[in-house]
Amino acid sequence: MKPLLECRNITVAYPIADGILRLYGEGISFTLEEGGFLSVVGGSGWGKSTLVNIVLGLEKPTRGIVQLDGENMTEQSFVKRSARVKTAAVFQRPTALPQLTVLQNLHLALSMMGIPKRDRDERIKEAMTFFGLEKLSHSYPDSLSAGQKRRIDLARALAAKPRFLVLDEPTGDLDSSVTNLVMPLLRGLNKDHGMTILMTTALPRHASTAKHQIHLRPPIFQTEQPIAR
Amino acid sequence: MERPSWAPVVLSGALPRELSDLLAISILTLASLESVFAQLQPFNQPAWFATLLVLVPMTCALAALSNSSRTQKEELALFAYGGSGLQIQLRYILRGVVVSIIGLSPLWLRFLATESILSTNLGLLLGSAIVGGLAYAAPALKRTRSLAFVEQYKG
Repeated sequence: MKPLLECRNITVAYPIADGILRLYGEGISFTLEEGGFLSVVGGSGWGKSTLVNIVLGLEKPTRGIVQLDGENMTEQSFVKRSARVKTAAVFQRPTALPQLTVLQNLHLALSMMGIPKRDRDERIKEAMTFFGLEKLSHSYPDSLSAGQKRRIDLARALAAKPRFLVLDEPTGDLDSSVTNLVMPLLRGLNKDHGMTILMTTALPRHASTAKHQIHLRPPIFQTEQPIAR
Repeated sequence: MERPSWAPVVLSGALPRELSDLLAISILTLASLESVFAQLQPFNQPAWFATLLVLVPMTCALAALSNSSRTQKEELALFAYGGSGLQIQLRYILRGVVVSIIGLSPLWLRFLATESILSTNLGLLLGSAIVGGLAYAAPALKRTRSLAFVEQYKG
């Protein structure tokens, strides 16, 4: 299998008060093959979401290379990466246009991905039914709970049927009954439909859903000026 | 005896210090000056266009800044759905142009009724509407290009 995603020697340095916070130590490298399922495991503040942003092209690493489908995409935006490899993302913080209903949001997202209307209706109905969102279809996102918003994000991403699905802690805010639906669903999408999935999680039991795992290390704090002894 | 005081709350927020405050002050000042000078001299094309060129972008920037928390939600969603920065900027430019045209509709109607469609005054009005659109998009451009923006995805 050829690699869909290849990250080489990625490091990130954040300037903070009195020093620099370095993520991923000397650099993190990994490969995700086409049809693979990789989970990135780490504690809070260890750089899971930053890695998601780097993979999607929303943040640039301080050093390192991101390749998608064999092409260096380190400097490319999410739009250009998604044009190369159709990608859907579920972020840790729910995202929806507040002035549109749940149904309108899903239609907008899918139309932006170029999915024709006749396919959109069917896909949206299927995803909303799966996540139990039928009764919320005419609700506005700001009136919903965090768990309901998370389900909308998951429905949007899955209805898009992307080649590459990126999920940042997808079970955050979800109760156990929905969590128990999501993990087998992801496994099925990967196994039966060959969808390539990258998922971050802080929970080892969720990480085990994936075929492969990488474990992040805690960030390193460095003072800018070494203290003289 | 210790008593709760209103003063710290009221005084800490009483002085205008945001960019939107400055824009509101400038707009009001300009409108006041305009009304004062309008009584002193007849219609003067360079003067009214110069006034519009300052007033329109400031008003549009103020409108764009006034609901930035809501528009930031929209921007985060549109990027997540696969939208590009350029698409989002274009959206705001058009919104600013529409705001400017509606806001200046009495002037549009006046010139459309009395002048040729290719007149200088109508051209100047169109120019000020475009400047208004660019000003409406400016706060979003600054916001979406900052690192703090993508940090919002991290919850």
